[in-house]
Amino acid sequence: MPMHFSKRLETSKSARILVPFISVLLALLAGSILLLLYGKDPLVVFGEMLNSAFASTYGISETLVKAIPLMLAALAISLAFRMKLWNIGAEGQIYMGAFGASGVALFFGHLSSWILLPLMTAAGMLAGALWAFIPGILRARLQVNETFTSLLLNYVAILWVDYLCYGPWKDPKGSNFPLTPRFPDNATLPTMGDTRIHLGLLVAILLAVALWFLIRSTRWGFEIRVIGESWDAASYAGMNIGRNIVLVMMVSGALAALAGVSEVTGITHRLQHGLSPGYGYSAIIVAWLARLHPLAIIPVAVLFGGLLVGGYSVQTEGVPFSIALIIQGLILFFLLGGEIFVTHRLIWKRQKELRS
Amino acid sequence: MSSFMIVDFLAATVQAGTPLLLAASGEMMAERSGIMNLGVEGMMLVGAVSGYLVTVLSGNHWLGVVGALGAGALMALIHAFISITLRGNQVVSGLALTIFGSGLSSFLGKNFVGTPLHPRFEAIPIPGLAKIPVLGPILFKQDALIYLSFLLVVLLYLILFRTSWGLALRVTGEAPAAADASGINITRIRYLNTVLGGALAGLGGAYLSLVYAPSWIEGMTAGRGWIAVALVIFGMWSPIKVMAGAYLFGGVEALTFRLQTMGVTVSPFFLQMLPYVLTIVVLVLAVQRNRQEAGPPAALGIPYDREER
Amino acid sequence: MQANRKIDLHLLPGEIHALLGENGAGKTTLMNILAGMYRPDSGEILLRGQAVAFSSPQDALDQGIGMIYQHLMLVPGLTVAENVVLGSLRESWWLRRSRFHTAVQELIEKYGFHLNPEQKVANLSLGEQQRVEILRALYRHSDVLILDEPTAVLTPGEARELFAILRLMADEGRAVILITHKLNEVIEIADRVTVLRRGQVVDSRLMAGVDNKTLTRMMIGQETWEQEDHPARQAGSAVLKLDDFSVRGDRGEMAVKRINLEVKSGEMLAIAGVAGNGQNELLQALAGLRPIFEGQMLLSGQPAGGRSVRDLLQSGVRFIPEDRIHTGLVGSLGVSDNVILRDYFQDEYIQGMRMKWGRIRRQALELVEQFQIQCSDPDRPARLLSGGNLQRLMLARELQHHPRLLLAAYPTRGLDVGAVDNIHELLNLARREGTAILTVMEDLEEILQIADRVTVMYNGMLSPALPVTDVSLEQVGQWMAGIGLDRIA
Repeated sequence: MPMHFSKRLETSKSARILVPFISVLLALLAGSILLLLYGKDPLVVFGEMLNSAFASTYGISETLVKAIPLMLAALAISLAFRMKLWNIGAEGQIYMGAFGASGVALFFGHLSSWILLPLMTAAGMLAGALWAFIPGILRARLQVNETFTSLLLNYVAILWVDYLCYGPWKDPKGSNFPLTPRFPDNATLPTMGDTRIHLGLLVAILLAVALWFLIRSTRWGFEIRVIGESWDAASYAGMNIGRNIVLVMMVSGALAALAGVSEVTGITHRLQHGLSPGYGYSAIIVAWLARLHPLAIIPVAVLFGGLLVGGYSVQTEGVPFSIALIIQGLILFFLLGGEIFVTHRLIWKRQKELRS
Repeated sequence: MSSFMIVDFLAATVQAGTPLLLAASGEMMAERSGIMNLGVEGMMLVGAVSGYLVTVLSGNHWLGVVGALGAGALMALIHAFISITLRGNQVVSGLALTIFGSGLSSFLGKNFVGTPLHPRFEAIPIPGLAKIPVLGPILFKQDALIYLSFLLVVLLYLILFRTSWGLALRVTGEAPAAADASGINITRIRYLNTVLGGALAGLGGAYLSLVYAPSWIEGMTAGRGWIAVALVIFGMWSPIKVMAGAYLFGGVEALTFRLQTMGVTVSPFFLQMLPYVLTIVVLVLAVQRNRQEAGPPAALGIPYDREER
Repeated sequence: MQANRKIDLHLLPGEIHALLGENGAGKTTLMNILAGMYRPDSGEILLRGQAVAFSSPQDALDQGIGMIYQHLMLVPGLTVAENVVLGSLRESWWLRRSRFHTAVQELIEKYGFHLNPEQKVANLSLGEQQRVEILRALYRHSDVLILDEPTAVLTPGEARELFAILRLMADEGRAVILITHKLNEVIEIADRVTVLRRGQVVDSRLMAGVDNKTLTRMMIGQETWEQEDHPARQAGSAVLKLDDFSVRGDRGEMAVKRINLEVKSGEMLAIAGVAGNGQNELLQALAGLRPIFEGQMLLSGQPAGGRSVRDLLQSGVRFIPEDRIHTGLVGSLGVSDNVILRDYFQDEYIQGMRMKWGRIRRQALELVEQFQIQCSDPDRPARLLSGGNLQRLMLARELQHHPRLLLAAYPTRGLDVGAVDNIHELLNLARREGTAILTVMEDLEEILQIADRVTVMYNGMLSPALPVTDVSLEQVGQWMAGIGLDRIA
């Protein structure tokens, strides 16, 4: 073997910063090869993506609209991942959040918006927290891997919302579409100018700052960091690991649910089938690319929002939307692979030198 | 239910369980070597679309099978490179594989949704055996891939517990430092089994698109990849028990399908939830039991680094 | 970092060659290169006059180099025979159990090892497991045997048996390398000694005429250290008292069996014994990290059994666990994070919702200075500190509040002589201030040097605790092997 990796004493700062950027570039490069094979000019396709997502006020506004749920869900995921709790159930928690908020809107729509919106938010977050409580308690009490349980619950949550949209909550006037009646206006979020950007953006940014403060400066943040590094050290320090698992999962679920709440209150104004095009999964990549740093999640989510908008727009060029998903997956591959340059040093060695 | 319906139901159980059996067997081999690959769902999807495309384009369904095996293996190779050579996080790498696989499969299959499939795998009754009452129609009036899956289970069992290679494989997942010190090539064993796992997941996906459906539908695996990973835990990393688990879930799927057509008053959405909820229940029970009996391979999911023994 | 620099080592068939050096002198790195685990940056290895390059352990094994590691490299779930043949079955596809069982049985009989090839390794004692490793090297026809600190896990009796085996190996024409830091072992068994210091060979000579003093001078570059005297200390009141105290282990087995014990203030009681006989479970239970199965724990006369980690902490029970980097400290967090690891919840570190990081950092700097911890920046990860500094950091954190009771698991394990002396000083200081110390140590000489009383733990049972001035090495050695303990318990 002409080369091997040798452990660095101290992680490399420059590699920490460079790896995410290089990962995005390499992912685009690999995506280009795929597009070439597909018979499309990658420069044209990526140019069109960039153009549609960032070159016009409308494009930017749509990019931000997509970035809101990504931000919220990525914040949720980053909190859990920091404790090495693999909550990959954000998608389901988004649906449960949307379900909770919609229930309040459909049955208490007569309330004033000052009461109604907070009530919807609370109901949505509660639904998400309870949904995440299931994998949390199973992990804390029965040592069941939360990766599987949180993921499997995604399917259940989506089917539950489908059941409501096709069944009891279906809009009688909506011909045969799987959606609920439109919410009354008191149940919708204010938007910015004539764009679709809604109050959720501000909430997401404020939450990012709050989460950053929580991790860095509070007692609970210290517990989360220690538990994430070593369970043995945490119990030696007298921390209650089980309670923290359940708590962090519930907060994570509530934050992800907020993404669902903001979608129904800010964008769709009703509960409907296919509410989230996989925000909960893309958010995993956003969180990882941001190195789980709450503030870094804001720009990364905007980038990914642009990727989604670009992905929709290139469909007119005959490129399937799934190119956006492919690039997301590729980014994550390169990011994971690149991690070794942070912790290790690559050493090239010719066999000859060994013998001399 | 008449006895004919029961036999019919059990035969459908075997068919519905086969994609799970193939994918879970592959994951079991990877996990035995210490590599956890949560990308089974993505590998199945890419296997499904590749098998389908190759069959449609070449007109030969066996070539389709080869294509699915190869596509699954290539997908797993990415995971192997990241988690073995680059010692990356296996949980997240598996997730990346699932996201990438669902994107890639829908990208590749875009223009083929709804294309009819020819040729197909037809049931081949095995002379003599197929005539056995009850068992015959359940086990021996199936298609070639199902017979292959029977063979595979026996083969994997023999390899794992009766060969020196299987011993080396088990030790690699159980005590990699000891394996390394005794001269076993950990990297090679982990690569081989991860890639084998991917090939089998690809085949499992192709069973859906070539036999079970038979057609290409985006996201057609519908969480089966995740259920397959859970089945490995349920099956305590042993081929025979994994097979039992796969058929249990095959049975549930066949049952919900039958209940829906029989006009049961429960909403179909709730029936569709059944496999996922059941997987969670089974996982909870399996983990409690495994704590007393056989746990996962001790080094599962932990990259091996000689400098950190 | 260079662990080894320009090492010349000549090994002859038929000799037992001791490689002597302090911890961190580079002995293990050198042997890992010989075993094919690491590759040298420069230089060559000559085997029977031929230059060889190993790119993997398999290469080294094929060339006849067999390594017996300090942390035994066996698979607990497999049988003795399976472990012996592991990795050398490449030529045969099917596992022919009966065939290799016979081969292993023959080897066992030839060397009189008293092992059953069908037995699971998990059920063997550490001494027996070591013999399985030697068997593995023999099965592979190794003519160079390397043993890394082989007596660390053995009772004195088992060590003597091991030396007899090594002599037999040498007499058959094999070359044996014994890596150790224990002088008396070198004198007892070696034909030739090579001394390593800071990665370099400082001397290599035949053992004839070499004595303890010479070896010490070679190893640490100075005359022997001062033997500590035992001033008659005023024994204080009982701080810790255990009555019929039992604790279960991880697998539900009884790890600590109805023991009785008392530690007074200002006194150090050392628990000797081979690792894995219940010492860790005992300390964990006393620190609140493991439930007590039965019996009573009295802290200064007050019942303290079943209280939480934090509760015990508040009443002055401090604990230094065996595993420094994952339990006692969090290697990836900063030094100042580690300074408050067990006290982060105290009001003095919190203002409103915020942690007072400025104050915590200042406190870390104070401790770093007071305890002479080499650390340039308290924000850098603790992992970067050396073993001695990690141990000092942990002691600094646990001792700064003048605890009533200090539980210390292997406080000097793996440290070099200078660091060991320093830790001893810190422990002595705490003892003078009235702290009761209950420590687990493996080195008998060290125990006799520093402790006030000693007791031996074997299979969950405790021997009577005797003043170190009243016990003989033979008596302690017998207790370590369990001889005479059943009668007492």
